Amino acid sequence: MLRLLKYLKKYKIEAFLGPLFKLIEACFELAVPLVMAAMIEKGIHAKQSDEIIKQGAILLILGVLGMLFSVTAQYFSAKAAIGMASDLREDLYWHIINMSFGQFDQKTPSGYVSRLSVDVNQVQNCVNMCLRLLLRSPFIVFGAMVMAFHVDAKNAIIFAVIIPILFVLVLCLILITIPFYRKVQSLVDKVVTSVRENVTGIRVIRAFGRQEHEKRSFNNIVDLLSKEQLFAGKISAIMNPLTYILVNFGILVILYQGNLSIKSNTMTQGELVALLNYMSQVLVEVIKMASLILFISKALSSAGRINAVFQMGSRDEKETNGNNIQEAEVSELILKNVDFSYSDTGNKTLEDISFHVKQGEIIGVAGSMGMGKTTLLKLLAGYETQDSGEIILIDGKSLSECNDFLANHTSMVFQETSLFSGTIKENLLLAKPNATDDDLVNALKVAQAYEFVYEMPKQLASKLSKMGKNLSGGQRQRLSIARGILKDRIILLLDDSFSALDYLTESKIRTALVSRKKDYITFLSSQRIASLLIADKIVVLENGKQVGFDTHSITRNRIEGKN
Amino acid sequence: MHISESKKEEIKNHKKEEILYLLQYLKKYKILLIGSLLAAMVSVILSLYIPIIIGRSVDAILDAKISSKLFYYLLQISGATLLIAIMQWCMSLCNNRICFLTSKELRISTFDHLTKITISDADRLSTGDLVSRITNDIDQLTDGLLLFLSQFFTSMITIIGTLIFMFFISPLITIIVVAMTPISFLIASYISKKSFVLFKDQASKKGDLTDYIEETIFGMKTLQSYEGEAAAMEHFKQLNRSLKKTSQDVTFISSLTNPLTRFVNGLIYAVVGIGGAFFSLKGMLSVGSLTAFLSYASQYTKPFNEITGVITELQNAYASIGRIYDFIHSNDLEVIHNDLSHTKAEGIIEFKHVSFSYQKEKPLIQNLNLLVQKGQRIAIVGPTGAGKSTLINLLMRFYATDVGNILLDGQDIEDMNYNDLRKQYGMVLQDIWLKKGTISENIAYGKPDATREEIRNAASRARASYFIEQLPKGYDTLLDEDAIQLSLGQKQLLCIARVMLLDTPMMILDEATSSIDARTEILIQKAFLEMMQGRTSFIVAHRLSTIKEADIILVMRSGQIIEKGSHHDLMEQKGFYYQLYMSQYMIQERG
Repeated sequence: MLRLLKYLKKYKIEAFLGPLFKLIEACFELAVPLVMAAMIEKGIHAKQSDEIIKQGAILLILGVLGMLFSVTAQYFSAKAAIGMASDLREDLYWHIINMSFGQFDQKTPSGYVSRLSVDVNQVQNCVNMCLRLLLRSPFIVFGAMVMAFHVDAKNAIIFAVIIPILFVLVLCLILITIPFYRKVQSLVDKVVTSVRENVTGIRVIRAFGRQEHEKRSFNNIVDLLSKEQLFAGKISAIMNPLTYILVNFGILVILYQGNLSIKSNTMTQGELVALLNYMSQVLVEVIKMASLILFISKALSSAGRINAVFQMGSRDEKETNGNNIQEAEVSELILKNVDFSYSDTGNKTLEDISFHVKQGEIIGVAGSMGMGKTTLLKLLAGYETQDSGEIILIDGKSLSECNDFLANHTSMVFQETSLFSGTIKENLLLAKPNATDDDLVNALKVAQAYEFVYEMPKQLASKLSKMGKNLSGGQRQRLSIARGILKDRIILLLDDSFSALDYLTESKIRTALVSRKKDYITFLSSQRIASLLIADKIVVLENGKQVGFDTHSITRNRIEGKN
Repeated sequence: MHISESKKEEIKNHKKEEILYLLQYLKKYKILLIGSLLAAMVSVILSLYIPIIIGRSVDAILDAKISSKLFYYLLQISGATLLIAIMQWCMSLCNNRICFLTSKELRISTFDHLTKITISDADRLSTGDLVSRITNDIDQLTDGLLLFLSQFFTSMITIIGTLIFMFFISPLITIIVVAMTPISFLIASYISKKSFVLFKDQASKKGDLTDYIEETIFGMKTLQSYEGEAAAMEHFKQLNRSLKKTSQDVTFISSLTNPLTRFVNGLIYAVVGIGGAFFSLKGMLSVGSLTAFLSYASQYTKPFNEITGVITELQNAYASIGRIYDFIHSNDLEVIHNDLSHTKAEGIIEFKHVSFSYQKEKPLIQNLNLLVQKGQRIAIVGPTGAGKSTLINLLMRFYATDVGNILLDGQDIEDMNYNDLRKQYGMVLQDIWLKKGTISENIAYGKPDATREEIRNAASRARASYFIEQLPKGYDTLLDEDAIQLSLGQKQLLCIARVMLLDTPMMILDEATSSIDARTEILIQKAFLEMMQGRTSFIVAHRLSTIKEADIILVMRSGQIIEKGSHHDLMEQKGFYYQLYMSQYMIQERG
């Protein structure tokens, strides 16, 4: 949480003025019992009706001023809290979209989404509440005590006794309940998981006839949940009655001692009333503080989740200085003993990869799942940097230290398609902002997407909904391929990009790739050896090791011979 | 117009039932409810009485005549305080019990309902919607109920009690207080009207931002690969800043309620103070009574605020009851008898004049007749979207036929227990579903008492043991909700292993289009062949070899079975299958 507070810096004036105005307002509130005491003494007891009017007017003025200051304070707190959260959200978003792929994959995408929305909101609300109340409530509690001492020091000693006890009591109860509330929360999460599983897996569960079992395990979770809720409830149910008893005990003491003081003429009746009022104020504020502390503890865990994302490293700052992007005629690509692993301790994901390819070749990447196909393509696209070995592009320069250079010569189409809301054209232009309509048509044709796009009423201007969900899986995939082709880099990397296509469409795309291959180095990874039919050479990976680099027919024979 | 009005009427009637539905659950807690109410009444009345005694004590201190009573007053205060504390505590305990137990039962019965609704009903609801009904809506309802029980009655009693007590002390000042009450209502309703519009605006902006966050985070890799980060950031900033502006306004305006009502309270306090002081000056009111009056006045608007809060919360809770009620009452159920037969079927399937459609206007399967002998293989082929999974839906009785019967070993499946029927099939769908739990729990899903040996055996027959054993914790590896640590193909292997463990007379296989790579696919193919041995098998087929080796090929096109026969027969016919074969499967064969 503290780490996130740096975002308040920009709003330091508001963050300072908000609580300050709240405190000023609190002072007015604290003055009210004094004014009342004066009214009783100077007005009623001295029988001065103009004093009553005067003190009454002061009460009204205090009320108006209090409202004005408090409204201003609310304005400043809202501005500071929301401004801060909004900046935090921007930074977090920027951090996430700039993570290296390896880092990014450590959490689920929906995890990032909930950190950006739910958790940031939680922090925002907490900061807002804190700016308003964190200082105010203790200030009023202690203020009430100070004022009480000011009214009558001897009789105010009870404040000094009761207030610390109240604090300790409230704090203890909260500290005891927080772990229980955490447990409750984790059980609620389990309920959600269980329900979601049972909805998404409804067919499988029915097929295995396991409804009764699912019901039992759900009932267990719910049972545990209600037990924890009841237990936590039992503890926090003590809070109100106990604070009430304590404060009323204080009132009893004040009345008893006040009786003696008034009889010995060391205190007036008005002063006694003031002391009683201060004691009641203490009760109200202590209860407010208790709810604030609970609130803070929730926000702290949100802040922890946000910080954990910040601590995940971002990709090394990209140096996108145009100088490096030389339009050098790259014609060959060489890999020499390339090793790569995602973690420092883990096994190598790729080990000793070496091959040499030339412009005009189509290279297949084959291998069982999890054997490193995608990783190899990511290395070639410059998204990851090899641990050792060299990747060389021939115009002669070793590029092991310059991933950016690779990134500028490659275009990669991913397994998971991702389109964004907006028109088809906008989605395509992401790859090449200055592309002409002819460029678009060409790319669409290669990807076999031309027909369905132009059959749509608005053609290129057709709107895609969120994540392109208004298209079929195959259509989305073809648009992704078109986008990758439009980028028009010498090295084209297609990572299992045909998975949602029927055989006919797939074969048409392959034919189109062959007809444009002479200007490019094309990499295709696929899970079907048949899909790599057009490849001139095939890299076969097994457990991250390169076990072959041959033509299609040799590779095919080897694989099928093995089994 | 007429329609909408009659619909409104219908909804209204519904609402009554929804409340009755909730009351049904609450009925059980009658005693607790009465207890809570009584405790609330006792504690409120006593806590309103305390300021009066305090007032009397203040008077007693000055007045020598009654000063002997002070001790007696103090005793009263202590007694009342203790009683109030105990009552408050009892009330909380009662309320907690009522709410948490009700929510538990609601969850159990909605979940129970979920395990029984027909698949066709479940298909109509979205996952998110269903999940939110069973989780969020019930939470909302619990919160509403808790707030209602703990604050609504106490606030009502407090308001009435305060007025009565004040009236006894000084009717005139009480009238002034009552006359000023509407001010705070006016302010509150003005603010809530103002902020309602802004809240709606904020909600829609929040929605836009979240939508954008979702799609760019899910598509983050694409974004990076096209160097679209900066552009995305620009767009994000626009959305974020516009949300910021609205949020600041709405937070500010809605936070005005508190200072403004406090101001009204202060106003009432001042008026009571001035008025009371004058009364007291004229000897119509003692200082002690004034103290009591002031302490009422200082707390007077609080219950009003609380009731407003409760009402907002209740509106939300009310909408939630509606959604829960709808779910529980508007779905058909699969009736499951507990007397399972446990006999293993032979596996002879017969379709007799079967017709089926999802929507009446769009007929799909019409008058299908098919006899499948024990151990035969049926390949279902056709372009994507041809309705191949419809047949699976009918076989498993996920959906019921419109006309005609499906017989298993001569018995109409509609007369069978759902679970009895389904246990005869081993099913591997393309939609992968794994549970949160260990790998071995997942494999043993259909046979929870399987030994580790059996599990290993199934995994190795599914060719999954290799990657499982590579994992640091092997079979005890914990899969989380999305099982992100496994690739799609690995997950598919686990699903196969899950079926391998069972000994079913029939198989339903949805052949993977692509997510399993060539080498593994060959292994799986062998595993599949092993599984199909001697078992009646229905395969949604993509691989040429599977299709060619099938005893019967069902060719589907836009939902209908247009051709039926062996590979040889269908090639002779030179129909749709022939075309399909020439255009698509030839490529595979050449490959």
